[in-house]
Amino acid sequence: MHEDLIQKISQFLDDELPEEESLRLLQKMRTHSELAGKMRRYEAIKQAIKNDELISAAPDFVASVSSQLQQEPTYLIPNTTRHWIRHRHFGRSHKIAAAAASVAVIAFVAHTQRPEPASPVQIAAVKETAKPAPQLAEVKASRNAYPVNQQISDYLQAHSSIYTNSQADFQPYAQVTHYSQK
Amino acid sequence: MILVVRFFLIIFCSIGPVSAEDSDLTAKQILANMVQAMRSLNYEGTVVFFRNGRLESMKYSHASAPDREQERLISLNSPLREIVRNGDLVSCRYNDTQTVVFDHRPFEHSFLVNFSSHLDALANLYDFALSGEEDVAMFPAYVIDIQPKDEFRYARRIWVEKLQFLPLKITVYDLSGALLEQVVFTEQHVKEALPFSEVKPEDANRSGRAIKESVPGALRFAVKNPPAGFKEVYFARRTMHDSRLPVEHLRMSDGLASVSVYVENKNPEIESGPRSVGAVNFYSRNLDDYQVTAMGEVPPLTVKTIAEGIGLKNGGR
Repeated sequence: MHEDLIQKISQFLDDELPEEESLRLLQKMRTHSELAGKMRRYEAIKQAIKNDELISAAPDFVASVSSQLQQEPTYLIPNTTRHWIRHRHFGRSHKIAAAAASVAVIAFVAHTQRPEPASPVQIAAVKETAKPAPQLAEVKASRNAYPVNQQISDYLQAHSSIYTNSQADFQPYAQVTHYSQK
Repeated sequence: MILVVRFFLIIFCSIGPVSAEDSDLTAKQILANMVQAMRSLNYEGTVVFFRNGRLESMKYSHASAPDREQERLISLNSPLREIVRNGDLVSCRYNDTQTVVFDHRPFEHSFLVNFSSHLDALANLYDFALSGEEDVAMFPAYVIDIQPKDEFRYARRIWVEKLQFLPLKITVYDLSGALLEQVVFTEQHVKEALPFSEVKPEDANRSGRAIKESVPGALRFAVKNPPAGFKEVYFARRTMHDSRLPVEHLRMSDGLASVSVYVENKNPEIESGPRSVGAVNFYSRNLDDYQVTAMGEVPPLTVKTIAEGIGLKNGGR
């Protein structure tokens, strides 16, 4: 290693190296691991001289912090109380922008959470592995065979306005609901 | 001088509007205000339903008069339709066919959230907590956490607008904390008055039809030992799907979550056991000659407990 580089490291640690040269030195350290190692050793020596305690960071400390920073989510809406919107005195453009932004966020969240984007909602028959499937008792009362999915669909539709049948001869209310039990 | 200041302070405090800006409201008080605001205010906006992995954007309006209420939902996407709730009667008009379908739903109060006004009873089943304040649709809102006290119901979170106390966002979470459902306003406006839709029940005699007809009859089964708080709120003997025999429909509710119980003749094709679709769980079992199914937006354990607690009265006759 050149003596002048070692000299610059020493000056850098003593805060005596000009700014431009400091930047060049730091850039050089990115590609020269030997230089970076030398820097850490000098820093440790300097710290040991000045203090009784030595706190040594792991060699990959900076890289791991940088990696974690890249994985941090981006918060689109800061969770702070904004006094300027406490009252409902907004222009039309603000309202439209807010609505559009909200829909965009919701659409993004829904897109990322939807398990099967192209397929209709499915009824997942939950398997009970602990016990065998129960035997159906003898059917005493007669009834016509009726599709299971349609029967479940009818139940949902009767349960709530938001679950309605889209396969029968009437259309959905608040939500289209399909069933395709496999 | 001090007496004068005190006098004006007392007057100011006594005549000020009920607002969270100047008083420390509890979560329960905010919810009580929300229930009242939902019924008494005229408001409209755009609301997005996120259920079962699907998004549905609709225009929403609520009109209120001293003697009546009306909710309207107008779809923004195909199939274009308008759903109107006039008290117990729900109607749906389809744009393409101009047909109107009517249904009697006395157990529902809102398209947004069916929240009981008996908060004291709900407080025995859920913990209410004011967990913070956030902005929704550019309105500052209280964030109310509704945490169940047992494993028989799901947690909810409601964002309540701070000035008018209208709900801006409602979310439902499963037992692991994962989001199941979401209803959120992207814009909301409070009005002095809103027009009532012209849809009338008489229209059913022309182009509409009732999709279900209740058949009078006594309940032939009973639910033993249901989860705490679940009470019978509605019963109908309906003609459903193509069965010639009516289906008995019992609806139970704890004031927030609800479960429907259906009892009908056995369908050999339907298997006993649990099923699920989105936030809704089912549990079916056979009971003598009948098939019993409990379903609702509750955990699987709840529908299983209710289904297994059903017993026939007098052999189901």
